[in-house]
Amino acid sequence: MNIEIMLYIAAFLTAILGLVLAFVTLSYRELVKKYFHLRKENDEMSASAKAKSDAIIKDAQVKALRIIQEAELISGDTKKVLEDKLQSATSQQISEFNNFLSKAQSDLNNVLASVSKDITEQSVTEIEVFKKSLENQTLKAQEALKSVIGESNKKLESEMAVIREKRVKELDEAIFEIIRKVSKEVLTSSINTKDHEDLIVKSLEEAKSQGLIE
Amino acid sequence: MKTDLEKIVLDRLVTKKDVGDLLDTIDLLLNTLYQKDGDAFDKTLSTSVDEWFSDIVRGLEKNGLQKEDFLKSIGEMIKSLEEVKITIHEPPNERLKEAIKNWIDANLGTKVVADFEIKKSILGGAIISYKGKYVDYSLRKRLDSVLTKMKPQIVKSLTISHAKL
Repeated sequence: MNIEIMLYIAAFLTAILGLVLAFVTLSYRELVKKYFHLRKENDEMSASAKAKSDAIIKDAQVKALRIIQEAELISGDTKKVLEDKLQSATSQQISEFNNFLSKAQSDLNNVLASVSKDITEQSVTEIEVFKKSLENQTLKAQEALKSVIGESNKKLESEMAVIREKRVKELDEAIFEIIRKVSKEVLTSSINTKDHEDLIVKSLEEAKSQGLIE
Repeated sequence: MKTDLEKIVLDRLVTKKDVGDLLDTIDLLLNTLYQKDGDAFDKTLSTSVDEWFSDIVRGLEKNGLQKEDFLKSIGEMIKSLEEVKITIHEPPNERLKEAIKNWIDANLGTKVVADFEIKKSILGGAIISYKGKYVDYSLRKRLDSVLTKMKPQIVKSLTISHAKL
């Protein structure tokens, strides 16, 4: 019976452990999903920003070329100056765009790191909570089991004492009977015929002396 | 004379078995007395009767006694004999029979015989029963009594032995 209770408690604890592990796994999965979603958003944002900047640069170049074309009369030097200035503006735009991208990338990395850290911290916290709960349950189960075993042992000891006493008594009786038997055999073999005859006559004498024969 | 013969007969009778055997002998002799064959009685006396009794019967006529009367009166006398039942652990030998006979004659008179019963279980001594009274002087009873008195001590020593084990 006691072994059965232990088995039930063990099975119950195993079930609880399984449920908590499932919950933790699901939570982790959610967090990982969130991470990938954010990452996807970031990629989309980067692509969109790049597309927009490309469009802006292209537009600027087109406008610049138009202006240059419209001003064909402008001298070659002026043209060169304008081309240089256009090149500089373009470079500056590209540089600013690159900076923006770097910053966006850095921000994204920070966000991802933060998310990853959140996931880790949350998982660790939840695992700690579960661990503590399991320890408490295990301790309670151990205490209950100790109590059951203790009571069973007491009962068993008591029953054993009764059985032992009974057995000792039976043994004593058996030994006493053996002593009785051996005594009879020794007595019979140690008395000779003459002694037996004398005993019989003595018995008659005793019977007469006690008034049983008259 | 008759009294002397009765005394001789009584002297010969020790046990109940002796009484039974003699009664059978007397019946046999009485039966042969009534037979047509006149020699039947003498033949029986010679062949089927103990010598001591056949001598007594043969001497009856010499002593002026009738056989039939004598046999009948002896038969009646021994039928009235009392018995003391003595239970012993093995069959008595002649010496024991004689010793018991002497004791009975001295203490109870000649008109008592011993009825022996054999029971090995009594171990020794005797159980005596006479005129409705019964007493056990067997060795078995004495041994049981001693062991019963000593039982607490024996059990105590066994308990100590158990503890040592």
